[in-house]
Amino acid sequence: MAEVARWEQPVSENERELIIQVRRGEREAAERLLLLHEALMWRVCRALLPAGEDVEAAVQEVMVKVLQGVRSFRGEGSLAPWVARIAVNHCRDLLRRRKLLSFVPLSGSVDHDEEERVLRFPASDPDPERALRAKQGVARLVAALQQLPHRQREVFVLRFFAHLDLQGVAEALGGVDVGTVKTHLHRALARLRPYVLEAWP
Amino acid sequence: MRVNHVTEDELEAILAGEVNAAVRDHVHACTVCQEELKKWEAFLAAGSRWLPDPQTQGRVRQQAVMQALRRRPLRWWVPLAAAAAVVLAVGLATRWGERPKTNVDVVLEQVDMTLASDPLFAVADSQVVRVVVPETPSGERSES
Ligand SMILES: [Zn+2]
Repeated sequence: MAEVARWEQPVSENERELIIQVRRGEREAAERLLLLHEALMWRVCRALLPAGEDVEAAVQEVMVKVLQGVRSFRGEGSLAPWVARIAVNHCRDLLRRRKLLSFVPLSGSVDHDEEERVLRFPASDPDPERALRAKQGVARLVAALQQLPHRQREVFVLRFFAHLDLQGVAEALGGVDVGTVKTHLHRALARLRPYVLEAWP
Repeated sequence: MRVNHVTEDELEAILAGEVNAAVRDHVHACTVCQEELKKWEAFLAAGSRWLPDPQTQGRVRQQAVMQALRRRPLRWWVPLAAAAAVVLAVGLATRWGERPKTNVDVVLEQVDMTLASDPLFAVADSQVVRVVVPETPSGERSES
């Protein structure tokens, strides 16, 4: 019954209160606010950052940005797309700093140059099948996601791991239009499809 | 080949849990699509389980809260100005024979006002004052 009661109350109600408390500097509210979106921040950072990057440090920085930014948050809906946007931008910054990201993803257009990057399957392993089976699911996941151009990876991760709806994904990407999100999502699915069919027994 | 199988459009809807009846009927009847969906679900499940252990999550969360809500470092001129003001106030109080305590209150009010006029300190002002108080000159302690 408690489950039902929680469903009836919009998430944003609870968030509104927490935001006000965080603005007053209340630690417990800050923790509870982070808890609401913690999984999203971890998944986005893990999926968008390269293997060598310190994901813990990245998540912590994103959380700090969220708690500080929430003081000036003026949105009406759930914080989730806004939190996701902070995480996505933080990851982009880290990648740019590492010179791993060259595109400037501010416009809503599809990145055709990125599209042309070769789809790389993990064929370099001497015994791909055995190596593949030995890997944990997460490792295979990372390998699969690395097949995607960065923008497609962002869209895919926001949609299916952060569980945002298409509008939320569009917001998280800085207000691109939903059509662009769909285009990227379908391309991501098309690219991942052979990989998923092959690598997931 | 996959004319009748699930398209990428439909796949996106299915994976997001927004499936229409026609697609659902096809998937129910088609082992090829069922196989594919099982693989996609396993793939996405790996992504959703993709979290560190609860201890790590808790530690990172608490560190972030501490970092975000801690008292902001004082601007270099704030403690200097506060200390100078207190020295001045104590000096004046001594000269005019007043009790320093009331003047300290006045000074703290001035510090408050200074901080309030600085938007970056709007959140931390009450804590800043608490820090400034112990910095008053040793002459303050003669109260006892
Ligand atoms: Zn089928």
